[in-house]
Amino acid sequence: MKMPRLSRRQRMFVQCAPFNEERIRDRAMRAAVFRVHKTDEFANQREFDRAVAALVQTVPIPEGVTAWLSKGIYVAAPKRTWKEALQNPAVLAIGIAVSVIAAIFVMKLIERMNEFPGGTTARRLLTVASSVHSLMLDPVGIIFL
Amino acid sequence: MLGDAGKAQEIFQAIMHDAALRAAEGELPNDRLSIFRDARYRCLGASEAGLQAEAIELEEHEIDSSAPVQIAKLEPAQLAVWISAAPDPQRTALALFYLDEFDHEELLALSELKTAELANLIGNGRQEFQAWLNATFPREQAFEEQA
Repeated sequence: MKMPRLSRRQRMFVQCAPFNEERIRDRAMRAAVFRVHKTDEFANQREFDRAVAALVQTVPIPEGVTAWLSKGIYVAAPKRTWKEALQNPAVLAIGIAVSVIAAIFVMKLIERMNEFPGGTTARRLLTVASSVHSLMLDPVGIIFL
Repeated sequence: MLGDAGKAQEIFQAIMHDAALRAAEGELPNDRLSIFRDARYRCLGASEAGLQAEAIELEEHEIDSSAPVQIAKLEPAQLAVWISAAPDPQRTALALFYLDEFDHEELLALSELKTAELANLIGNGRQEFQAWLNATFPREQAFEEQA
């Protein structure tokens, strides 16, 4: 297959694209590689690169090197920033749940504050008053008089 | 980078020694690439002190489909010597690229190059290496052994 027409940027990406697919993390580079992956020229380039890398892998590693590497860790563990922690789905879910609970609590509190404190007693008195006949109140009126 | 296993080991041990000292003092670097960056600078420093490869214009050949067969005939030391003889930053670009350890962004950060420069150096490096392979293992010989 012949090489398709590529932009200057795509040609650059194809030239320096890692031969190991796993190492291509750039989306534009992946797209450029996808456009040429069936061409003979690119296949030759890939084969060439893989052959060189295979040769590099055969370089014997001296014993001293493995001994040094086994002694410990020489790079600090990456520190988690607040931003990264907040992007964690578990933290995000907990945050949303807590804010919903807080919102319900505040709503209930406001509702309570708007309520008349003796509301229940007043309602009971009104019910009693509405059920009382005027005749029943007559003796009381006489006493007052 | 150096084409000399002894020198490379000395530099590696010096880097690990420094890293161990830093670890003991609780000053570990956060960046995974810092050790590779340190190694690169030390290698460049060491190669500047030794014999310098003569700057010559190398021939460039198109990459051949028989290149893997030619490369398979090489000893790792021959490849190391070829790469170490390349001028920097091409030497750095080729060494890091074929190590198969880094993605594109990491390669740019370590080599301190831009994408266009890196692409140019690697592309030219391939063609120069192919020309050298063709000179070392002429075509007839390569095809005979492949058959």
